[in-house]
Amino acid sequence: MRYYQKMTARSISISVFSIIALLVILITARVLFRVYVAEDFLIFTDEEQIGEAIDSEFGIFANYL
Amino acid sequence: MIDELVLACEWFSNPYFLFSGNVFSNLIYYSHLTPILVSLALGAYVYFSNRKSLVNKALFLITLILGMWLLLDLVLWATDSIRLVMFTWTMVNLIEPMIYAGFLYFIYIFILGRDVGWKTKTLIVLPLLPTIFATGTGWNVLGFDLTNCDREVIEGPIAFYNYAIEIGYSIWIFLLGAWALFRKVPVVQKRQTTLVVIATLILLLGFASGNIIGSFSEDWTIGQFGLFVLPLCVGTLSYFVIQFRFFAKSQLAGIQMLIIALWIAVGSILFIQSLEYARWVVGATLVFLTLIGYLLVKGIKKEIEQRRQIEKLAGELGEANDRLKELDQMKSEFLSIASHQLRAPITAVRGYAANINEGAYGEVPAHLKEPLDIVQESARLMANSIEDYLNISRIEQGRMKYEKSQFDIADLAKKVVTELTPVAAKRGLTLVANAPEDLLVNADVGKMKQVIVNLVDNAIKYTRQGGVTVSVETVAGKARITISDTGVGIPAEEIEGLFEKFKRARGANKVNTTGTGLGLYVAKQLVEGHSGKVWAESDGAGKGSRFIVELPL
Repeated sequence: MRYYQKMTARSISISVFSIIALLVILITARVLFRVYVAEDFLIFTDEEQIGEAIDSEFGIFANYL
Repeated sequence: MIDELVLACEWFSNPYFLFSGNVFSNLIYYSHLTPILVSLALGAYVYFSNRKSLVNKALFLITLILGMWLLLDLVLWATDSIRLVMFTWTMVNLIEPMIYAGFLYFIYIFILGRDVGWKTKTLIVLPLLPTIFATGTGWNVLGFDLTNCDREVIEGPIAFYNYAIEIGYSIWIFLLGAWALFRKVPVVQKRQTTLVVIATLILLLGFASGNIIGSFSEDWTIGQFGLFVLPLCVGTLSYFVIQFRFFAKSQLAGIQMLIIALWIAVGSILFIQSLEYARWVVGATLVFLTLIGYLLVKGIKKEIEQRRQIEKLAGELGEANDRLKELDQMKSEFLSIASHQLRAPITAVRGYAANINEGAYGEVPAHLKEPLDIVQESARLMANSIEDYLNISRIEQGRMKYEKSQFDIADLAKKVVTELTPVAAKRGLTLVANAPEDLLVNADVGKMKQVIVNLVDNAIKYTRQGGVTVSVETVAGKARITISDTGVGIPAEEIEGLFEKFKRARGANKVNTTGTGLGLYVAKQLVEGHSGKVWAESDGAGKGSRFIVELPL
């Protein structure tokens, strides 16, 4: 039991988890930019548009979507 | 342009992000807000119950991420903003696999009882990298589907990749749990680990069911029922984290935590918007209540059993203590009787040896002089020891009596010096009294003599060369007797315990083999019996010592 108490979160802060946390913060900023500033996403008003967009964007993966 | 498109759909406005008529199910507030509150409350409770524990921190972090996911999901369904749906849906897809990775890490450290290495951590986060890097692109969420005003998005391949790695993480957790069963650990630990793994898997299954079914069938309503298991599972995990690893105060902490969970679970019924769902919610609450009730009863039962056990042990301890006191009393009585029996013969031996030595029975032949000196000195030491034993037994039985009278302590000190001068001389030491003035004190003369004899004897025993000086003076209205020597001295760390019973300085045997460790103890008891003080001073090993007695005038 005692060795449990010795453990601290220091190991988290210096580990790969901190890199992931940093990446998530950067990606969140990127998403905010994409959605609110660049408006870099499609708005589909027609079912056909969806199929076309999926085919053109995802290539071979389109068959699985 | 975007805002104009929205107008055609006639969505409800949603000024507070969370509450609006846009939600597709009346149950959504119960299915989301309850787990948010339960997760955050229990996570924080677990964290604050032991902030240094990694396993507690990990669970708290996971509950924070879980709460974040639930909040984003709720905003997603309530909002009337296309941009906000795009943002929250994208973030939900990013956070979701992280919850699985977090639980995998949690299970690792729960089973191992320590942190994992960087290689394992890298292995855990590696599958997340495609998700992270594709999050800001159309591969996660391609666009918004406005064809039927359902406020849905068109997901890219990464959303399905996420489901794949979530299944992968779940299998990983299952295999870890299976592996833990074969470890050489106590059965209780194995059972707890199994329950934690099962609770985690049920949580993840309930969590994912809605989204996976929703993604494939586009029916998102059913997913809300999956979230019902979240409070139950987070509660179970928190309970075991607190109970399993930290036994101190765990019982109380566990019960407090269960009460918090129960309160939130019952209070969450307020989130139901429509009576048609009341049966579901009450059913879920009942399941939660049953589990909490079971754990509470179990905890209280354990507490009662422990108390009974403690009471039983306390009773046995009390009996043993009484018996010990009785034995101690018998020992003191025996010591007292034995000492009395010894004192009379040794006094006779001492007296006759002194008479022979002084020529009262004719001149002593030269070759008998030395053996007679040894007999005399040994008898003196023995009489002194017997006197110490008698004093100890009187002190411990509480029947020490002091027959106080006015006498000159300076004169007493000089007499002791005269008596012990031959003893010091045999060791090649000088013994000097420095008591120029008469000093009257009100004390028991016999006991005070014993004190001075003990201290001077002690000084002689621990002095190899030089001498011992006994000074008597008045200091600050008190009689002060100082016995200073040029002996082996006392290290600072040993001064404090010097007057304890049977306590001898480290290495004392090398200098003097006859000491019992009682002389100073008896001296202290006798001086304190006169409302006086005794203490030792020394400048360190090899620098001599001073034993000082202070008596009120």
